[in-house]
Amino acid sequence: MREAGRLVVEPWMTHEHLDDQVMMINLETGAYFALERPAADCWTALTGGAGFDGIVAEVVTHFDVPQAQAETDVETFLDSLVEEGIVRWSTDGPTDAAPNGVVPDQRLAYRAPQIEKHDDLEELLLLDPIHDVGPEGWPAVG
Amino acid sequence: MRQYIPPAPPPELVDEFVARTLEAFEEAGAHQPTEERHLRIADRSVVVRFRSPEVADRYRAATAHVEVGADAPPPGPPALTIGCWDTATSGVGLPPLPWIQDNLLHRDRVRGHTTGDVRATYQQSEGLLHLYDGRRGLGLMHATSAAAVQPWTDRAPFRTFIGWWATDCSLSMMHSSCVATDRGAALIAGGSGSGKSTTAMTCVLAGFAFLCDDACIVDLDAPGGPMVHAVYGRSKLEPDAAHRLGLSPGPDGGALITEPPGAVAHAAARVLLLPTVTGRPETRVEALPRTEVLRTLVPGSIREGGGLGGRALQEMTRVVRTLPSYRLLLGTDPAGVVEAVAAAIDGAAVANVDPSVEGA
Repeated sequence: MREAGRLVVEPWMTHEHLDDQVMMINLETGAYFALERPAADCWTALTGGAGFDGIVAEVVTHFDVPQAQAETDVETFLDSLVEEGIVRWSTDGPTDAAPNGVVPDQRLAYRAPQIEKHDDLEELLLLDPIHDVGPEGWPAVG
Repeated sequence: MRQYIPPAPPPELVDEFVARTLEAFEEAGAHQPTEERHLRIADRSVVVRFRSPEVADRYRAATAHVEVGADAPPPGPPALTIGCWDTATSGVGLPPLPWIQDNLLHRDRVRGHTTGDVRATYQQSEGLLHLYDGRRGLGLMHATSAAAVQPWTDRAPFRTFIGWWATDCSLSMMHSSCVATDRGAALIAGGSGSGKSTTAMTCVLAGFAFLCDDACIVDLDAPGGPMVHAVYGRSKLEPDAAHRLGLSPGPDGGALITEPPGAVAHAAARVLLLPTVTGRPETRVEALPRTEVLRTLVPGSIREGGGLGGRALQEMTRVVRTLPSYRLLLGTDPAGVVEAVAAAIDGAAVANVDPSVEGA
């Protein structure tokens, strides 16, 4: 859904940018999310106050993607952020410009922005690597 | 479709609950003698007041190495005060909770209290409450009885409080083992079963100093550079790991819980290692993108204690930005493990790193 306002991050979310990735944690559910480019660029624009058009502009500026496809993909991405309880639409107006207006020399290869979601129950389903390493165990007895 | 999220109680109701819980703790002191312990954690003073004698006994060993004698308590007010009582021995219960059922979440989290000034976890079945007020530097723990306090917490008492408080002090509580040479310390982090405890104990048996098995505090802003501080002094080894290291398993053949020799309270933080068991003979280190390091650290930290409250993610990310990090590809030869960890502390691990890898 494309709305005229801007998106605000829910208070139970904590998030941090590291290199080209954004890591986000829902402190109440224990779910955590990773965003890679261009989703991380969308997040940077979003938290900088950009509205829908500003976020799309950020993507189109930095990635090799037609405007129409970027609009469709960003809409899907923002809908998923809302559905996961990460952000909500506010009636506050967006900032005028995308936060990162630097135009690169060459646009980057594009893939649709998406959320990588993990649940803290996942680990319960994982095998224990030490105890499944083999009959010799680890480390070997000398 | 987005799920309906019921609101958390208003702040004034929560503040009243904190005040009434503190009153209940004080009232418990009229029925049950107080045992007071003074701890020194990350160069800060922490006072624990027990009005639950059984929990006090159970929690003694894990913090003995950071305990300051009662005859010489540190000057000035404590940075953190923890009160602990149970209803069975004191006869004093909790005041009415301010939360509706829908506010009580998975893994004892409480809606509206994973961040902010007042943080809480509540285990309904055992009436086990951890209530933390960052403004007062206060943690209150209540259980219906000492039996309601899970045995696994004996190895890491008040971990939830200490994690929240550390974050409020711009420190990072890391879910990691830590060992040191005279050149500095290696944090060994990873998920359950990744090999961190076994790696740490392998190094300790080779003469390294022991800082912690499961949780430590990193102070990136220490005057002389990043420091790692011990919090808990006990180590746990699964029976098969104990056997392979030439140690006897614990009672009834279970996990070996021990206070490793050569414990030190702090050391200069040099390197962060993420172990992976390979099954190959030799041990190697390899560079890791910093983003992968953070992805490895986050799930373990969510799972432990009350999760990543407050600014814990930001502090953890600072650690990843600051310390060199490597994957430790564990071989089967313990001597090789020791050599690789020592080299990583010395900075020699860089020789094995592909400089083109991000974060190297």
